[in-house]
Amino acid sequence: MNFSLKSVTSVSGFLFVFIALVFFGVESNRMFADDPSSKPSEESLIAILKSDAPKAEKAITCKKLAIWGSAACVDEIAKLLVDDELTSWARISLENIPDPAADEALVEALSKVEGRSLVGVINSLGVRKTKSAVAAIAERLQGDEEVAVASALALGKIGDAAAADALLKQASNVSSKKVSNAIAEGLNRISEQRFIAGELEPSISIAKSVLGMDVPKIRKIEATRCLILASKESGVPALIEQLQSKDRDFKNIGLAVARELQGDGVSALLVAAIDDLGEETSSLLILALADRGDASVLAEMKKIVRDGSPESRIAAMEVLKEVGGVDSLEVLLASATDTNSEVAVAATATIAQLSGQEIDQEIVSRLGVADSATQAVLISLIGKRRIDAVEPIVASASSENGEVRAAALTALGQIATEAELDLLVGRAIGSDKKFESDQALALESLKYVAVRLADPTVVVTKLDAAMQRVDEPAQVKILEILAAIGGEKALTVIGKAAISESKLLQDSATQLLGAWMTVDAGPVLLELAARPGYAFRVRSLRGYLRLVRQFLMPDPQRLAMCQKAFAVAERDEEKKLLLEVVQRYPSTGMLELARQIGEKNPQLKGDVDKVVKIMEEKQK
Amino acid sequence: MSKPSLQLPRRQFFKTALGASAAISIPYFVPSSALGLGNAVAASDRITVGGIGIGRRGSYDLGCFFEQPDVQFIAVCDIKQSQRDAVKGRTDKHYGNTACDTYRDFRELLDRDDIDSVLIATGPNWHCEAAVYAARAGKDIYCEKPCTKNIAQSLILADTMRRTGRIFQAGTQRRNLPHFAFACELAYSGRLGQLRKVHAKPAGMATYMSGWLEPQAEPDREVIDYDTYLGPAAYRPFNNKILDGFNFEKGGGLTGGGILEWGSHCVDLCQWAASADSTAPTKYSAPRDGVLTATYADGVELVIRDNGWMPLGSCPVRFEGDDGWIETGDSGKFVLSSPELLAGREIAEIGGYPATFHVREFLDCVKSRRQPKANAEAACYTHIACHAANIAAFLKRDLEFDPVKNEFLNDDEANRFRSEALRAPWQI
Repeated sequence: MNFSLKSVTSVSGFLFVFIALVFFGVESNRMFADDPSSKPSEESLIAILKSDAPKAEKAITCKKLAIWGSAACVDEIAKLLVDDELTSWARISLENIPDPAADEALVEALSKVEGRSLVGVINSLGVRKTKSAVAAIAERLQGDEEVAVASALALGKIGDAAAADALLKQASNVSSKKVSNAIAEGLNRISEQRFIAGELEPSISIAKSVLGMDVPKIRKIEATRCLILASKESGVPALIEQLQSKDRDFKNIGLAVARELQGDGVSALLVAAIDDLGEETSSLLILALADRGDASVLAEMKKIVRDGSPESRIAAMEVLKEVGGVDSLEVLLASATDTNSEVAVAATATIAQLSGQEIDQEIVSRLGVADSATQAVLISLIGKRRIDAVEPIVASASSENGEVRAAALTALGQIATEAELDLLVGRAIGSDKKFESDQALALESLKYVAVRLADPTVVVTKLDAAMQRVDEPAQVKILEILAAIGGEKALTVIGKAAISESKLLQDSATQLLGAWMTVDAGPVLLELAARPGYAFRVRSLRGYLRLVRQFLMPDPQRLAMCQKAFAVAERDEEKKLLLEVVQRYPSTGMLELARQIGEKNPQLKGDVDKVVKIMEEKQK
Repeated sequence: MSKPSLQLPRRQFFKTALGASAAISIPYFVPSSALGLGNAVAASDRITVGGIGIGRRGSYDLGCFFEQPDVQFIAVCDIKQSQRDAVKGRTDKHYGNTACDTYRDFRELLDRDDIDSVLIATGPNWHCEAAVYAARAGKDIYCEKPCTKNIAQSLILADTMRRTGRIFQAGTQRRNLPHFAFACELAYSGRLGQLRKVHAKPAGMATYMSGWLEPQAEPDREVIDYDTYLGPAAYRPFNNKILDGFNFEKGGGLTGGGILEWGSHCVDLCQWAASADSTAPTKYSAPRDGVLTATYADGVELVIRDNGWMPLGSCPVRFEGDDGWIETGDSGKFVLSSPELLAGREIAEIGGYPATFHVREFLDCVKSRRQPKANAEAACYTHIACHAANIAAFLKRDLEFDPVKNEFLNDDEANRFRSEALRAPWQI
């Protein structure tokens, strides 16, 4: 018996299987059993189309010809366009075959098919942008509504001058609202194509035509967008008009275009319009300016941050976040101590994200001269930006001002070095009444420092010693910090706590061991799981099984761990978990273990049989 | 005629709501009460939502929308009567009324002027087309993934959202989970040093696309609208087995499924990490030794592999730079090359990949008109990367791709995989 995990999970094997299934479907996959990517001969595929093969086979053949067909197969495929069941398959081929023969076949089919099949042919001509089909398609703008709609949209995709003329000619002649809508959509496509090509006047002209039509609002919105974009800076008044609209949809397209519009001085013109808009819209426009990323508006944005409404101030901070520098610090710091907490939080977050070392220097230099509220902000920014300024922060950690002290302790979590560990440990477990309220913050900061240090064992040693001097809830906090640090020494301390007399510590330690991120915790958990009378045996065993189930390790090691788990498992629940692992990692040894579990636990026979069967099937 | 033109116009377009520097979604300037996160929201300030194809996944998404006080879900469309009725029942119970309208034809739902946004959770066969039709009807869109079935659809999706000025959020909710966002931020912000490799695991998604099976009697159209179910997919007779929307026509019958199914999540995160929301890798290798490698123009490698991952849950990603690496997954946990990278940051551990935050960001963007993180352009290039990788795997050869012209270089066969005709009358 020789299981190969590689054969079960290898990507290459997997890809081979799925592509075969996806490409040709479950039913048709048989035809490509040898190699789904091998190129079939076009002659053999044409022969299938000519034969009386079932439609299913002809359908799949069309898909193959979409990839491997040439002009040679077009005639046979075109014959299928009149077949209601195969026409969609035939179009899959014809849309993809580059040869002009495919265009000719589709144009020819315009007079041979009707109804939905005709709609499909017209759609394909649109996708292929077949210019030679424009006249024939244009003829169909009148008549059957569904065909006319398809024709209008296809002409929009083809988009040449003739297509545009045809659509414009019919724009005022059709009575059907659906067709009129489609004509407008086709024209909007062309207007955009002209704009992208730099043909601004034609783009504007077509957009204006659509705006004059009696069509749904969305078509006018599309046309308005093109009109403004193609007008460049001259389009700003029209853009402002949209922003002032009482119709939300037009206002929304104004906001979209405010982000897209290019042209000289556009940003400045938009800034000038801010005061003419309502409170909500002006703030939304400022956000659009943030997305434009244009530094020329910086001065105006700083004014708004200083003097604007809370909403516009926060919006303007988004602009500063994008393009602001050290010049923005003054106004942002003032906002960071604002009585409006949303403004203050946003200002601090904005400063934290400004880029540039000169900002770091400015923050530190202001620390000594700032009032206490600003000091707290500056200290928090030193932490958030991880500025190398430990000395003043250590000093602030003993400030009489609680807000400053708290900010300093939090910042130390982000910038402290080994030298500041004693301060944090002392504050975390010390008995000085003056700093009693600092304990939780200091512990939290200690955790951050510990995980950042190159040699975390220093912290572990200090915390291990501190364990002896604090009460049980604080010991639990320390254990959590140790778990966050990880490593052999931390594991030893937590293992020790797991067998202490304290139920609280046992509980905490076993939970932390159960979530350990390396297999090193295995022996500790196993020992606990085997400990007679221990309250957390089940949890420990489950933690052990988690390691076996989830972690990468050599097959022999996994098997050995499973065998050890089996030796200590007492309850059926854990034995079933073990069986899950066994099934997940099939091997000869695992199969043998499954059988052993079955032999010694007849009550699990059903579960074992199922696992064995699955494993044996995998082997096949 | 020449070959179909699939070039997407290149110019400044999308910018995510919080810019490239932000990792975690935070409220905009709009006061939280106005966003509906606090007190009750006036009916006039609510975003009205309609659902299209609300089955198993859609029901989960619907629950996320229900959690938002500024949402009013008012209509559902489904080709299955049983699902229409179930969603209506749930919605009416949620609001304590009988107001949720039901539709068999989604175009009727889209015709309603009083619907602002739609939740699209059909099978993958319909995602792109439904989104494009919704945009053309003026709706904002939250669309489940995978969003497209081929490269052409990906481009059309982005193009349509831009032309119509819509807000589009792909259902790639991991972009709004703290641990994934943090990992991506480490990569794109340069804190890992020069980025070298981004790894994605596209596992557990063997796809089964139904072919042309034995015909069975078609059910009554009001009970199951089979013609609409087929929708843009090529015709085949009714057979109950192909009604599994999840697996039906995942990749347009040409490519798709496979890497795309989970790649639309994990490759998507790699795209974000590699600052590649507006581009895609330029070189794709055929799978070798279980690994498919794609390379961006700047030399960063996208490594798609199933094996060798840490036990951090499903959908893992790993980003490697000259100065460090990070690996994370759906457990919400992450592993760093050095704890120094954490830099005092506290990253909320949210396992189980909930979509709540993603839905919230979508709604915020509907109001602010900023582009969400999983906007149409980002989704477009994520899907293009997956489709191109699938094509390289299928053809078993290395491919070069131009992400500006959106075509493979000197490979006519590969280029023909980029698109597939839609069954009439559907067109995008």
